[in-house]
Amino acid sequence: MNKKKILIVDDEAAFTRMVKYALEKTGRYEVREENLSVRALDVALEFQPDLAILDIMMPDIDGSQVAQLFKTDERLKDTPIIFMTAIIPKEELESEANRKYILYLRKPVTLVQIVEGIEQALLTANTDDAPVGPF
Amino acid sequence: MEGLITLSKSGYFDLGLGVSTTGATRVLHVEDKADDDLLFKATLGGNGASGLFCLNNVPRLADAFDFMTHSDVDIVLLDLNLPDSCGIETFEKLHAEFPSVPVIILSGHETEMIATIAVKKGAQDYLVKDEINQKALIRSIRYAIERNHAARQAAYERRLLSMMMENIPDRIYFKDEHSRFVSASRSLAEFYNIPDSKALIGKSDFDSFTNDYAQPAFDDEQEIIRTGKPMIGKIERETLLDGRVCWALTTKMPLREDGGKIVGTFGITKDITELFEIKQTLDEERNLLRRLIDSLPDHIYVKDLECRFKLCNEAVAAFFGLTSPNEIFGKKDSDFFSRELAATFLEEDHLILKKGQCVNREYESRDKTGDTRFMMTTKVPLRDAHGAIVGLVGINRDVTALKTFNDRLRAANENLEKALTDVKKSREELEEAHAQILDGEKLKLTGRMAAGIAHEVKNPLAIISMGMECLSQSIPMDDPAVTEIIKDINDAIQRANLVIGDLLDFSKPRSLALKPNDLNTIIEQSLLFVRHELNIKHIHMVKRLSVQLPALNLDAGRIKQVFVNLFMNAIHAMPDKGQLTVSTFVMPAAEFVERNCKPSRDSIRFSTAKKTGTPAIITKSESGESVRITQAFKNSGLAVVARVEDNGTGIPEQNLTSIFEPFFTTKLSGKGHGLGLPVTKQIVDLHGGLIELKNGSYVGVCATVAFLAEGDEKGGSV
Repeated sequence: MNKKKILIVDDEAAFTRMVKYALEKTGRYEVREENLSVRALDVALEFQPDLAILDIMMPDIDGSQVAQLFKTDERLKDTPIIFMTAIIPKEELESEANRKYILYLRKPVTLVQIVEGIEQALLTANTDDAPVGPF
Repeated sequence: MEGLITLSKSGYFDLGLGVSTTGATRVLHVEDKADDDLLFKATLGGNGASGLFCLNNVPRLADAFDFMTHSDVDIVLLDLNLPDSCGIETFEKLHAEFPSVPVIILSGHETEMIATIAVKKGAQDYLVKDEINQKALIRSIRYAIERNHAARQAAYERRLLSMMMENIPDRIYFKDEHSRFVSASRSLAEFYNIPDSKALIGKSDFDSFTNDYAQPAFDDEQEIIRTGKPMIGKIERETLLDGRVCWALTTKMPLREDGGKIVGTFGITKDITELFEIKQTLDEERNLLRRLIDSLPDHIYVKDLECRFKLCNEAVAAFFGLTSPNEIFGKKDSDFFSRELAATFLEEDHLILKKGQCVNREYESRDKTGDTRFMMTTKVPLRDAHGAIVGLVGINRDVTALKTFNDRLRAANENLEKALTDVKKSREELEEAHAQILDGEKLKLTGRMAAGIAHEVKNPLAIISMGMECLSQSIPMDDPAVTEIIKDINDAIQRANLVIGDLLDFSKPRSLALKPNDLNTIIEQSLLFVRHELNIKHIHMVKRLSVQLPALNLDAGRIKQVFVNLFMNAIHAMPDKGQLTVSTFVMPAAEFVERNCKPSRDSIRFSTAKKTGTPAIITKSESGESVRITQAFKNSGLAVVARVEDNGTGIPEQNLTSIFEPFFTTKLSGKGHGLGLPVTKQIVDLHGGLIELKNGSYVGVCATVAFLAEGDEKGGSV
């Protein structure tokens, strides 16, 4: 089985490093970390991830804007996205909560939660009809 | 002889000249020749022997003067030729000095001529000494006195008439049968501006008046002459030739001869111009007053002591439907008004007449067409010149229009006041909304702050947490100390995470998802959350939930949070065993306020957050909100009440005022973070409910939450 390619975008380098370390240690994922949100799209186009984990509150452009960029790109529009955030702004919940391919994980988050999230998101992306909601 | 005495007496008396004490005629004989003297004495019976005459003799004129100056004399027998005076001069001197005393001249034949001159000059008679006999002398004396008396009487009467004609201001005249003046008083002459009244004689009214007056006066006089009927007290308007107009009160009588034949008229005319002008002025004033009261729209009337109308103006007459104000005379109120109304008026009138009070009042009346009129009446006593009450005067003013206007004004005013109240209320609402907006802005700000803090804290937490996971996978777990350290770190991460979660909760924008909910169900669900805690602390649970609670519009999730908080607080207050009682019931909202919201020492109402020293999160004016909710409770029907009681340690007295303040906690570190009750209260507030915490009567804490039943004031959102 090929390792799933996971892109994690978060301005907290320590966090992305740990997630990368933990996920890759499972042997099931290949993880690319990016700490500058403005570079997220370039990296994604180059890396072609199976799933992207985006921090919402980031300097420059935030996670939801990054997701918008993905949606407008033919090559990335079907990529499942997990939002991971310390707090979930109300407007984000209202506008994105019920959209497909989008999951929310609240920081602090455990490795188990991340893995479960990734697996469910990938499954949903493949079946296209499972209900999706914030955890 | 008797007649003589009588005549003398009455004559003298009438003339006011006195009477001799004896009653005899006092004769002074002025004669220097003794023989003559003797002659007279003898002739008159000698020294007044008979008592009819009192005879005195003086020889000279000077003696006569002297005598007459000191004694009364009835007649003088005067000889013209005396030692000190001679001829006609002798008489002239005496007559000039004593004109009223009659004189008979005694003369000789040679002086008879002079004697006749003396008679012409005023002597009564003359006698020739040689021809004198007693009889002739007595007769001469008698006639002389009589003539003198008559002359004097006539002169006297002439003088009286003259005095009258000269002095009486009334105009007196005598006219002949052709109405020509035969005599006129001085006042008449003056009236015509003629210096001498004699100048009028022979003239008629046509010479002094215009025909307008002269002709009717002439006709009147001719009528009197014809009929003999006097004209008495006629008021005439006289127009003089110079244009003056006078008014006169005239009486005209027929002038009769001795035989009774009418030969003219006489009359007296009093100039009453001034009087008449006064009368006219008075008339004018009276008419003016009359016209005045008739012109006024107010009702004006006068009543006498018997409350009968004496007069009224046109307005009253019109009000009563009379054709003329005169018809009112003698009528009473009972002739116009109902018996009750008339009785009221009568009572009032008596008050005015007997006690002199004034009355001022408004009353409702109906005019003759049946329309309701509002009258403002003023009645005052009418007093005579001495101040005695002789009746009353009343003035009624029809104030219907004014009253209507006033009513409209009042209504307009009420509308205005209502509008003002509305505006005021609107303003208050606006201010409240404004305050809420401000509060909202503040909350947004604090919300953003809280979010920022949460973000900045949660990210490090995420790193620590993730780091711990990574580390724990590579650290050998066989050392129990290491395992414990890792667990402690993870617990700390969880605690920090919870605080941040509550902080976000507390400062999150306040909106509720209201749905009809059963409070009992929510409480049951909340209990599920704390079931585990209850079990390990061996706490006995008592539920007294009313089976008939009305549904409430609640955000179930938030309310659950409320009860979980209350339950957790209760559980923490009972570290080892205890009893938790939860009850629900319905009671009148106002009664709830009455029972629970009185300020007391051991009860806290709805947060009394101190502004100082507390985090910026509490910015909303809690007391104002609480007052508004309390007021809503007072004005509403039913309240649904839930009560959570424990028998734990209770709240220390000094902490009662602080328990709703954020980050105020009495729990040991790690057992609570101090945001539970502020969040709880905030949620209850948002639902328009009331929450109260107080110590139980003996032990523990009693927390009460109340919501208004459906249909009453709902919880709002900011």
